[in-house]
Amino acid sequence: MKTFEDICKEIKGKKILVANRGIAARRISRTIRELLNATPVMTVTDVDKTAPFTAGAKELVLLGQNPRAYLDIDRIIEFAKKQGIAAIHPGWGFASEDSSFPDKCEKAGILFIGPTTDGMELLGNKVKVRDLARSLDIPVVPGSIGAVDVETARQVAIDMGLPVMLKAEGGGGGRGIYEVHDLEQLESAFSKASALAHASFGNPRLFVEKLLTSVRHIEIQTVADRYGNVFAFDERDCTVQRNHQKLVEITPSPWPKMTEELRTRLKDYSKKLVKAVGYYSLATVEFLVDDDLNVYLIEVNTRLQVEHGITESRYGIDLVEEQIAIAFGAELRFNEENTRPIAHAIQVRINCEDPRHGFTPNSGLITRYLSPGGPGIRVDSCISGGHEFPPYYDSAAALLIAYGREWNKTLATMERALNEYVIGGLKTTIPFHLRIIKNRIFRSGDYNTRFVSVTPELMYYKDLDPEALRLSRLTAEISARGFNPFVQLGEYRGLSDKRMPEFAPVLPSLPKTSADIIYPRKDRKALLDYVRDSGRIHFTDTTPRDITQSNSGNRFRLAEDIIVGPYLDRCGFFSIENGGGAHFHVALMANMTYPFNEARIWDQIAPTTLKQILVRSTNLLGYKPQPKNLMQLTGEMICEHHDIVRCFDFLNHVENMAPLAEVVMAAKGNVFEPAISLSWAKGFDVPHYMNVVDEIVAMIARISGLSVKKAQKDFILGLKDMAGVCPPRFISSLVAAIREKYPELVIHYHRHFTDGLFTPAVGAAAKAGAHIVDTAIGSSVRWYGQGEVLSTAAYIEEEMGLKTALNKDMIRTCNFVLKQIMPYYDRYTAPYFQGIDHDVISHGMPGGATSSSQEGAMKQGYIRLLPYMLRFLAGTRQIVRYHDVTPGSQITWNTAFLAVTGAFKRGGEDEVAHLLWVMESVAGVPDNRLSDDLKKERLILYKESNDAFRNLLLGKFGKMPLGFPPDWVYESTFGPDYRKHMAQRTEDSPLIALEKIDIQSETESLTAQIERTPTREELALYLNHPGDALKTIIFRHNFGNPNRLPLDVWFEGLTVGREMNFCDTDGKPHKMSIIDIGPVDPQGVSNVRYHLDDETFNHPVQVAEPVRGGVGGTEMADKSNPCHVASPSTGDLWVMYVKPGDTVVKGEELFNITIMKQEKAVISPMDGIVERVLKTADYKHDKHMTPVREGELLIVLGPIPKRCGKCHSPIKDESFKFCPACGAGL
Amino acid sequence: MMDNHSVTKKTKGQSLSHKSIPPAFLSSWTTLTLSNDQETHTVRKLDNPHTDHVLFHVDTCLSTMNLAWSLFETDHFPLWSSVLSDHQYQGRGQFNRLWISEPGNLYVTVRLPDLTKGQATAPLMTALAVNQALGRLGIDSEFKWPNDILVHRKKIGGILVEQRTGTVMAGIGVNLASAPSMSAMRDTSPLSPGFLGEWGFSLSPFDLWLTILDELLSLFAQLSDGMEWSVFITALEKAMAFKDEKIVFIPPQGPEFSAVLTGLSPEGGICLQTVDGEKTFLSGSILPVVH
Repeated sequence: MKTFEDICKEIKGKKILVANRGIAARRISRTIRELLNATPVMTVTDVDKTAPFTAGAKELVLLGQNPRAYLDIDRIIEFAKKQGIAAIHPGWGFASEDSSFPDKCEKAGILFIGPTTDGMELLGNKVKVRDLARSLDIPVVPGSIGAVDVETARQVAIDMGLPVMLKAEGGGGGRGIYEVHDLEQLESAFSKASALAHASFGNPRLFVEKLLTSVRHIEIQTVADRYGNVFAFDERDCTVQRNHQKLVEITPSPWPKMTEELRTRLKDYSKKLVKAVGYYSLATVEFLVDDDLNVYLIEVNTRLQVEHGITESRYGIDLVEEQIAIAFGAELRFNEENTRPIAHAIQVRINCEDPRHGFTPNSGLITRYLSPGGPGIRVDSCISGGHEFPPYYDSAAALLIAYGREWNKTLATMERALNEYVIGGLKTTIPFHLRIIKNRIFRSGDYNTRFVSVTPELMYYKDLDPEALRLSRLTAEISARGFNPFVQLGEYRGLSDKRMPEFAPVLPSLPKTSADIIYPRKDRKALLDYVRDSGRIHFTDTTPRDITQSNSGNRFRLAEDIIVGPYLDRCGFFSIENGGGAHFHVALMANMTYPFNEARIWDQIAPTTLKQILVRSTNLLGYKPQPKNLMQLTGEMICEHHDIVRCFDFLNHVENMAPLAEVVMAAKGNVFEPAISLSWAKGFDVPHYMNVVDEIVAMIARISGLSVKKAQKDFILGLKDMAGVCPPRFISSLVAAIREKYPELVIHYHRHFTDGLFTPAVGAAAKAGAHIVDTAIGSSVRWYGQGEVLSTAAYIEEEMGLKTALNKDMIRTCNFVLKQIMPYYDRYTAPYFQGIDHDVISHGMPGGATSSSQEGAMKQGYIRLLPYMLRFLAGTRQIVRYHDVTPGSQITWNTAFLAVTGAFKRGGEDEVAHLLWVMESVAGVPDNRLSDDLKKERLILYKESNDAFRNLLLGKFGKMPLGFPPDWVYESTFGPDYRKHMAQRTEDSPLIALEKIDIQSETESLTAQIERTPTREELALYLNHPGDALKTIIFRHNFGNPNRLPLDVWFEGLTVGREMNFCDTDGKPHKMSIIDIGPVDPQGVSNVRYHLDDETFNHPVQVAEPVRGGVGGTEMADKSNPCHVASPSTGDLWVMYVKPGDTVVKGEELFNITIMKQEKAVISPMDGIVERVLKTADYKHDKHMTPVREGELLIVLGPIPKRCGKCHSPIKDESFKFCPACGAGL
Repeated sequence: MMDNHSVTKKTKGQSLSHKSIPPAFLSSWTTLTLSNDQETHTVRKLDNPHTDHVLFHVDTCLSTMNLAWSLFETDHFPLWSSVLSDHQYQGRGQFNRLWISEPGNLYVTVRLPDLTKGQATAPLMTALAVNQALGRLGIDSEFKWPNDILVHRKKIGGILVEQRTGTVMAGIGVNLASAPSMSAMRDTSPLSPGFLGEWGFSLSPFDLWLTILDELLSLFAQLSDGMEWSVFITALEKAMAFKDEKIVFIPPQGPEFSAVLTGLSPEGGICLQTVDGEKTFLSGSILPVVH
């Protein structure tokens, strides 16, 4: 009996071959080197020759090209003999359970590290071991007695009841198992299973087992020596599986029902089996245990297993070392006294598979590799950074084990290590394992083998690269183009354009003390009382929303809000308008910001001041009218971070505002501000608007259950002059009338700058009794938003003699900061047309739309018709009466545009002039003063209208403020059957008939599209703007939070050499600099190489369309030219038989193309000489095919100039004097 | 290279015996002699008692594909004609690879109609015909896309379809009595060669060929009767080897990669699930993964 020390002396320096690859080979090589001091040798096929795992071997056995060579036992033994190998370790998989291996080794005089052939056959054969177990009174999974034919299988299945499993007699490791759930499947499953078994294990025989459904997989590792000594280790629990493949292995079992008794029982069974056949080496006995603690033997594995490492970690031992020693004849060292468990251990299998897409395997370059470490971690991997992971073998990249004295600590260590583990370039199971580790049911230990299949949320994870890396790719995308394609401003700039200075604003320090002027927050009554009793004028700042919406295309980013916000917070404003309107949508569409998250951040950076949002009555923030349940959801989210909710309706159809009013009025900390849309024209006078006010107050009273007197104290009335058309005297009289009838009602006045009369109008309103006015910080004021705060305040104080309370110093400071930001937005986002337009009082185009509408006309080539369009607007406003705010302003504009361009298309400018003459003759003129001719003529006015206009006339947006327009408008719009349409008119709110939205199914749809559980905000965004929400979610997934990039880089990208410093969302600093922006290749791709922190990356950017072949890239054959030989179809050229200078005869094969598995030979149309060969291929030799297109020119032939008189060989060159074939003179 | 054969002699033969031709075929037959500078063939044109179509037989030739083209060029090979050979010197597989052709196996080339209903018609129809013919004879086979026939995951047959200006020839080789030796495994061929005899199936090449021809005729008839192409795809997909298994795919251009084989596309291409999503390829080859 030899001892371990004897063995070490014996095998010192000897060569031990690991007939395996990857993880197994490296793991075993390590032990060979350690105490045993032997020489590790590895088999490698060509593809594995330089793989990272070969580092463990001192010598290699080169197996050649065929990836399957690891299975060729005879050849391996042949090489082993030649290289003087003393022993072979088969590892796991491959030939490790081929029972002929031990005998073959023995015949060759090489020691096999494992059991004998008999041992393998007796215990490793899945049918024989069941017999053996039965004879030893060890319970087995119910099933057939032995291998069966398909008929018997059917009978067994019927007797036992379905479901059953068909298993390969020669199989193992979870492979070769077919589940059969209904009898019809059995026959086809049987033949498939048999074929697969024959192919995989060389043995087609199958047996049948009952498929037990609520079981745990628990196995016992045993080790035995040649002398009858056997030791059984504590159980390994491998219950977390998928398709019978183990994913996670744990020792000891975390199952709450695991007992010492069960453990002992399993160990006893295992030892019995091993002893009964005199087996030695390692063996693992696998069992299934059901909920009642019934035990069933599945099989025995007669080899080292993938999960052996957790047993080693639990006991602090080396199983491979023992296995080798035993093979050489050592006595088993382990016994109950000297081998005790000391730790918990868990292993996860890190595979190169994508769990979210059916565990699809992937192969390719590993671009980054950072393995975890630290206490309690063991890594067995076969990869490294820069390694090309091959597709030919299994997907196992690494085995990660965590161990520790307590289970909770071990789990925490595993979670920490998984978070540290970086494998870049391939999809791996790392994030999936993180989901498992964190899963509540997993942690409870109380689950069965179906755990993975019944827990779909394991698949819902964000498989994200670190944010800095994603942001670096975004920067590369912008830099390669010179402009930002995501911001949706077109190609506003190119790579070589002049740049703005680096964005580095000087930020004055903020005072440590809190603001002086504080308005009550979260208390509606206190706030409104405060405003009413203050005796002064209050200001709302619109810089972050309406100003930048109107003047900077809504592109003002959250990043810049964060800079300016803290200053705005201390200015003493009643509220900051920071959300809603079109800003909401564009934040999603072009700034890739989540607007609700933006609101939350605003409350962090500017915690003191009230926040205000603008919403549309029927649509709220979305693209179409919202049913009640969606309005509830969106409304509640709005109220979380916006104190003042201003709501408008372009028809002033008060009923449309009611549903939202209900939501906001119910939130006691919020204030509802219904706003009246104002125009100034005949019919839209003070009495008219007073009716609207009455309706509003009545609605509020009804909703809140208060009297009118009390109700007026409970909200703010907004007055919204979106185009800036109402002159000072008008607003003055309106406000005065409101104050007289409702003295306690707080009035909030909002006006645009467009007509140039902002300041006097706001002053007049304040003088007449308006409490709050909207203004903006000076350096952001342009043409289309509000006016400037300090000048307005000065006018109000000095000209109107009223009081204000603003922190003017802070306003100045804020202005200084903003002044440094605005130039970037002016450069890239300013509207095309600018300037004051006093004519707005007649055409009425609201501030925000003025430039974009006119720009649209210009881009379509209609700039010369613009004056006519404006005149049309002026006229139609007198016929179809509503207010020019969203969507009314769009409808009006489109109507004018379509009418004028339609006239132009019909009859040129003359026709347009005629159209306008009709309009101006008719607008505002009563019917009895119109001639019959004119009455007929006027029908052309609305002929070209679109659906939105039609819907408006039918009342589908709501009740028109001055009632329906005259009948002739309908005749003009709808044509001869207009009366039918008129009969369908309604004055009901469009919200009444809306179907509830199925939020559950929308959630499911979104979940499916983004492949993870959406956040509450993501769902709300999706319900409001599905297309753009998805776009932003995907953008954020790919590129991170774009607000982290500095403003100039956001618009211009980086140039080579300049370093950008930025912080990720966790606040960690990073630096990036571009090394090179490559030229655009024929595929339209420019490669950007850059440094990010200490690593170098390459990111390809698709900057242009690929150059298309065919017309342009490839040369096409001239069909009429008999010397041109073309490709007969599109396919792959795999052999070109000729080269230039060859002579060919008619009918000879020139080349061959494979098209969908057919080979097409192309033969020469004539005798001749090959002049040009445009493409070539030789698949047999270099395994490359060249793609070709139908009609592509491949060969150009030429006539044979002359032939030798003597031997008739063709003479290729006219200038030859002698025949090159026979030498005769020519 | 195309052979420019010419027919030099025709004689009518009486009954005689031939070791590989079943007696039923030998009731009456003619011989043609085809020759060119390289070789001379004595080709037997057999009266096929089972079908009207022309059936040729030679003892040996370079390859039945070449011979078929020669017979076609000399106007002896109408649609559905086929030529069998006991042995080939240079049996041709895909891309001019050598198909080792010892006697006892089936080597045949048949002229198929050129139905340009999706260009994948001929190779796939032929594969389906072979699969169904074997099925009729009690043999479960699998189809390894694009051209191979497998039994028990060993390659027992292959198909080569060649086209020249509108004429389509399908060459079929099936190992009945023998397969190339294991040394073929030493190169990159991913599957072991096998032969039907190793599992106890005993078939004569003629019997097998007639069954396959029968299936071919039936399938093409169904197709021209208006049967939906998708029906054939479904049938072939059922017999597809490695379906839903992890494989290595070698595309016509670019490096090989891991994928899961999900099925056949309507044009007869192969559908793969890769990490970049579902992809369809019209050419390429499959290797199984080694465990």
